[in-house]
Amino acid sequence: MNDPSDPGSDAPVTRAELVELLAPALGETKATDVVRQAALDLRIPNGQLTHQQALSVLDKVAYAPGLVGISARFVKSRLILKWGHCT
Amino acid sequence: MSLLVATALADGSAEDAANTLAADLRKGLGDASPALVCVFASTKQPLEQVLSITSAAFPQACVVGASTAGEFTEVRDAKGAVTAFAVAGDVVAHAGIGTGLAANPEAAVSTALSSLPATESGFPSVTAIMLLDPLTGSGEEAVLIAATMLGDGVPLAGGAAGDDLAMKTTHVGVGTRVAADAVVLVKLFTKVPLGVGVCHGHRPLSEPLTVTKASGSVVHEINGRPAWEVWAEHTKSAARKRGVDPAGLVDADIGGFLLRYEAGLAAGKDLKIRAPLGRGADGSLSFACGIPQGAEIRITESEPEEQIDSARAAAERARASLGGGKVAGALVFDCICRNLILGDRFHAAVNQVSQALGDVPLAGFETYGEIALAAGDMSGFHNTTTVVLAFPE
Repeated sequence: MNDPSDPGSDAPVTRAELVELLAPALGETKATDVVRQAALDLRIPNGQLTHQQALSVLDKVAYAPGLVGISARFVKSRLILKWGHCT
Repeated sequence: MSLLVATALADGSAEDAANTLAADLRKGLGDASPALVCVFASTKQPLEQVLSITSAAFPQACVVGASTAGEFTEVRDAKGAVTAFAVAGDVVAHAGIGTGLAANPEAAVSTALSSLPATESGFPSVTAIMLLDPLTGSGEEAVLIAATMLGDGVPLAGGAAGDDLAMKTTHVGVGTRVAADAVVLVKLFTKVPLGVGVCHGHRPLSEPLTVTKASGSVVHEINGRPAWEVWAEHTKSAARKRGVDPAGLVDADIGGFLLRYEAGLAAGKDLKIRAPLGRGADGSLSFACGIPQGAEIRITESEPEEQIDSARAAAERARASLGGGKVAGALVFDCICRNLILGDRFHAAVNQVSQALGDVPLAGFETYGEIALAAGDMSGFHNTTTVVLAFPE
């Protein structure tokens, strides 16, 4: 499995890896649901995501109120720090 | 000079307790002047009075505090008392407070951090201590916002204030300012990193259950039924072994009961424990942080031995994160439910923490939530957990 938090890695990110990053705060079921719905809304096909696509998914989730949005903004900030770029 | 820690615990009126603590801390520190003093006070000693006296006693120090549900040091644990922790030496501390946590956690955390410096020359390591009012239901939210604002290199440790299980009002404070619906953030600048360890001892009691109706930190329905009804059903068998019938509980006993049977949020191989703090008239349950609708949870329980083992594990992890070196002392944030489970054996768990750190002084309080977020962590608000913040010698 890729490590999406690996610094300097341009390796694609899977949806499962995004879910893994959100799950500690939201639980796996909710994290899976919000990532799937955001990818669907953005018309991102199943399969691996580029860094830009992954950050777009988190951007979309970040609009949600309460803990869901806050968690997405937190994960996005950590990934930007690790990857060294943003959308 | 490196770090020197002193701890104290006192009973009596707020004035008597605060004066005793100040004298004992001075004795413990000798000639050293503390950079940070933390006081954790039961509802019998109003935090405002305790902080005011402590701030006057240590005018050069950063003084912070929280109300509690129990207090302890390495020597003893108590109810209706005040405990204190002081650290002196190669450390600089700054603290701020933000209010309106329930309505706008971003603004509250931002306000608490606004006056704190980003760096201190000669002190390259930064650790943040966070104290907050958990009855706002914004525990995880506040921690993630603080972690986002502080950046990846600043580990967080801390606790959610208590009120001796009344579940009515909890307070935190800085200097002479005390508030409910608030968050306190301390930035500790040190020469070397501090050590954070965290561990819980809960295991699943129920099958997976789905939160089917929730709003913020209030869970209205689980599997399409009132949340409390589901909780009572799934805990009935385990509770009856302890001589408790959930159906017969009065409101005054609900808080303590719920803290024995908490929610576990599936997160990887582990469960993230979430504490229900109260029952609404409609059968809803309120938590110390947001529980998203659609989340899958399990009701959990824990046995006393697991609580003692996990306390030691938290201390061992904190010490390991210091590279195994000598420890000067520790701040410990321990969930009130651990005390409810352990009863008279609670101090055995505290002893395990002290021993694992090398028989050092420690002070802490029984919380309504624990905070620990290290580099790489994606969540930082815990329940039924021991968090140890170890200070290297």
